[in-house]
Amino acid sequence: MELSLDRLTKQYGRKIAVDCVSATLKPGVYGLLGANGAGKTTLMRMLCAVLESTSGEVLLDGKEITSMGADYRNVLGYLPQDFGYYPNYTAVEFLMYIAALKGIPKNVAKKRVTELLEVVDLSHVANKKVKTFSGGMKQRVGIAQALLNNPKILILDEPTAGLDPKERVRFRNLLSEYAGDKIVILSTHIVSDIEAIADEVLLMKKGKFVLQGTVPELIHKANGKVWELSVSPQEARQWQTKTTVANLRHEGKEIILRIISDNMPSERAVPCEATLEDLYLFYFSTEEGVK
Amino acid sequence: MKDKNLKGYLQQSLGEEVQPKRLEETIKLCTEIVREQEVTRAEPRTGFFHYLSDVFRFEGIPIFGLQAVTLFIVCLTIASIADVPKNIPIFMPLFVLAVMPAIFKSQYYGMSEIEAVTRASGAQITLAKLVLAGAANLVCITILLCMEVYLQNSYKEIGQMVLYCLVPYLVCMVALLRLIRLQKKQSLQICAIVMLGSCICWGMSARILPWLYETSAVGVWIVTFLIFAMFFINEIHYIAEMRKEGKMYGIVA
Repeated sequence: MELSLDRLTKQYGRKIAVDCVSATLKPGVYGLLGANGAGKTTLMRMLCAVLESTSGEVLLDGKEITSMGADYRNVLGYLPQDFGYYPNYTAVEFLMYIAALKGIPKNVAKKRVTELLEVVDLSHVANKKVKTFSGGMKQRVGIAQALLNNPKILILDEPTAGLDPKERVRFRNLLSEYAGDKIVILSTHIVSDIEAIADEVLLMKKGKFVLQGTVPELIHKANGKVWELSVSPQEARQWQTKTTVANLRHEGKEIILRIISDNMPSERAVPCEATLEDLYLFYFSTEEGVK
Repeated sequence: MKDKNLKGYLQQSLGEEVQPKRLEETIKLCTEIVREQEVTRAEPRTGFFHYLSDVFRFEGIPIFGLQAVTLFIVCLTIASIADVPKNIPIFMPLFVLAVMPAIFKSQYYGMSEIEAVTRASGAQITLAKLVLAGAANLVCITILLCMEVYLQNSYKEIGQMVLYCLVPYLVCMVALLRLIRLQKKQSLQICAIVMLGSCICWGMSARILPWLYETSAVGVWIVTFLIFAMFFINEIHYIAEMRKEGKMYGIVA
């Protein structure tokens, strides 16, 4: 199984949301990393055929996905970033309804719904209305609906948003277990999630893939760009304005800064091992909210 | 296409010696077909009629319930007014209005995207709801006509009354389907305004254009009926085609 993106482009008026993106995805977990407005959601919507591309195409084993219609959606599971729910449905009713839309026979659906509610730890509230659920619980219902048809292509837009750390770990384990011979694409801002489960990371900036590779490969690219520097509190403020500071921690009267820089920022700076988060900050240091 | 090629090769090979090149091509085609089936047809899926019964399970009560409530209100109103046939068109848009919650439900609750990526497709979901709503509408219109006949105590104007029911109904249904197809985010609000607006228009037509409700104007009603029936069939045909191709219908993203 192979999902190919061939010069995929989406333009809204003058704004190019996804800019001529090409990639070949084989079974595995792909992490889509990028700042807000990088084009992740637009790309995912095009991969689901919910959004028409301006140009380019998405092919599953050489076949254009929009021409495959129901055959494509049959193997697709999708969790949108923002999704609603019918407030009067219970968790079971909601999942049974989605199962009906997915064309799963009732007896198979019943079994699958019970299993999935167990997997996402919602079996104790299976008959409670979704409107009474917390944000994290609703997100878990969303994850369960995406897995209902045992999809071969699973696309998850910000799946860990709203989940607490325990739920996130549970979700990561579930996904790693599930992936196997499937293509799983997930986007998130939480770099540690991608670091933990993604076989390959696609770093997206301004609608383009700026980097692509496995986590160790990408981390290797950030090596030599991460430094630690011990400074006084007054100096720390200055460093924060002129460089990208990934972290700062107090050690006695001194502050240890973790600086992301192409060059050695100071003679006193000590090189240190990079993480995926450092790489992310290196590429997105000019974006809003960083520095 | 591959199946066709394969059948062609197999038929040609009947009574012939095995040609190594053809054998190789046949094996290649078989392998490709099996591989495709592994990807796309791994698990059994339900057909349209099974799907329709599933939609009925979830949407049946709200659709039929709302139609019943509308019918009850319309019947009560009709029973208390005079000159029934002339005023019948005023109430027909209300039956279409009662269909709208089911049709726009997913859009209103933000479920469009999740529903659009299911096997059913937007077109199939809309079509299934329209089939159920259409059935409910037919029952309601029939009951309404029976009541009109009962109130008139005569079958004389039954043909006209059927037209007075169906023409406004078709006009509103066509408007509803066109608005869904236009994919406007405000379709729900626009639709509601159109339906309520058309109630007023039909009411005004009964006052301003009384000749339209005379026996001599039946031709106008028949022509209007034929035109809008054509538009309606065209819209339904379009949705059915979209369903066949597995495409979306209406607003998604």
